[in-house]
Amino acid sequence: MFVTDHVAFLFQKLHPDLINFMNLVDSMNSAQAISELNKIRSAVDLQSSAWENERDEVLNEVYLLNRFINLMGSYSATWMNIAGSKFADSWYSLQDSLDHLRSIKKFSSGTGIRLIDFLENQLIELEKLYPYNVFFSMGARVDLFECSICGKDIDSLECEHIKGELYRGKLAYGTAKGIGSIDHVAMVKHPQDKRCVVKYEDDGPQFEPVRYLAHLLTSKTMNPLSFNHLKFSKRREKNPDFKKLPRNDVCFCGSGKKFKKCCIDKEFLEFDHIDIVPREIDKVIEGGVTSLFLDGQTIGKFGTYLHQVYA
Amino acid sequence: MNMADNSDKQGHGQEFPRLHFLDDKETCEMAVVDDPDFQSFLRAGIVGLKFVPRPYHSCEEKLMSPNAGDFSKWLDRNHPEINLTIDKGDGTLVLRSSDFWLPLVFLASDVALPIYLNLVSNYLYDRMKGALRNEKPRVHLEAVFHDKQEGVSKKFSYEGDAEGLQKAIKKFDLNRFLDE
Repeated sequence: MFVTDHVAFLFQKLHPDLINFMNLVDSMNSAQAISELNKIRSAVDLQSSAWENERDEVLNEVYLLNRFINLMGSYSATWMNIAGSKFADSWYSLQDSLDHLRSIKKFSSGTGIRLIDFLENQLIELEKLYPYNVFFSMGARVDLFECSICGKDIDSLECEHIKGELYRGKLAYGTAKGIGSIDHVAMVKHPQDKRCVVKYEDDGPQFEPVRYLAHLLTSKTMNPLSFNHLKFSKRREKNPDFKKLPRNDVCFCGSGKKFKKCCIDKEFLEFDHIDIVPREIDKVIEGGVTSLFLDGQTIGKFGTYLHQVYA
Repeated sequence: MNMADNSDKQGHGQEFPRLHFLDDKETCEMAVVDDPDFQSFLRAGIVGLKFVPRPYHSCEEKLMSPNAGDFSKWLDRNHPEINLTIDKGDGTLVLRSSDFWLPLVFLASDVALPIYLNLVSNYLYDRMKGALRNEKPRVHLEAVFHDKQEGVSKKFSYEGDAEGLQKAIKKFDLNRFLDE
């Protein structure tokens, strides 16, 4: 994940604290997890402040390390919000986590740690549990986007910076200048920002699947790191309102139609069903959370081990 | 793409932003066009590509599409051999969409449509670094070019994902192969 000696060494040094933090998240110990993360953040700030004059690669990896720590923070907030029945807020912290993950994937070098793959798989699955499928996106006219690094028009060839790239540890982005009138608001499936949703109330029926997950967490049936994936299926259940009537009688549902032309085939109804499938790998791999901080190659060995155990 | 528009004004004469509904539809169309601006472009003997601003929905001003600036810089860095002319227009369109909205492009005789589509495909690949594994890039593009065989100008419009774009590129390559 890190290739410069400076940041790779610092990250290695932080491993015990990061593992401790993840264990605190897994045991839903919110206050201690926040305190542990603040400790890690302070250590990174202190160390990186001495590297201000280092080469570009070091500063860019400091940015990456900070994104990683922010990911830890929003990941923890996601699970704590779910457990605390703050479902609308948990959507926002989940989106923060996914944004951090995109950045980490983009700027990482060398062999990635298994945690990133694990979080990507887990959070993509978790996202499916939410009721949001349509998002809002606005259309507007602006004069230009000012580059965060040089202040020139970031879309012009005069500006040598590329939007979304790092320059000495700073991200280049454009700030809209001369915003004209908003032309429209669109409902889209692929927005730039998935936080732009019609917000549902935390106690609304839309959050029923997330509420069930919260119940699993608070009843200690499942830990955050155990959440693996979802299995969507259809389930047939007996219709409690169904009444078997002679074919030519008026239907029980009140439509006024004959039973044979209305609800005759509705004795059983099909419902959407979601199974929350837990992760079992830690039953075999000793070390649990520690294994998530190993690199891909080491995990390959564990993979073989798993295969041998089950063969 | 645009399925329905609400009215611009909703009571008391107050103007509200219009509401659009966008979906995942994939379109790949080729149409004969008679575009005076493209004819002027051809007569001027310009080589390479020209980015052209255009009105968008209710905006009367000619706007450059959201990804035009980034795409122009990518072309400048990765394909400096291609001459690029940009008509900036009256501003830039902002859509807050994760799709790639490329500008209307005029192609001179030295840049064939399959070459341009390959450039777009490479640009998308570069810009999707860091995408999560369930995210597929979607692109909206339009290119006007002169079909020498038929002696007419044509506009190619595409809206869909990168895989569909690859299929379109293969189709054009096959057609060219059969023509030769």
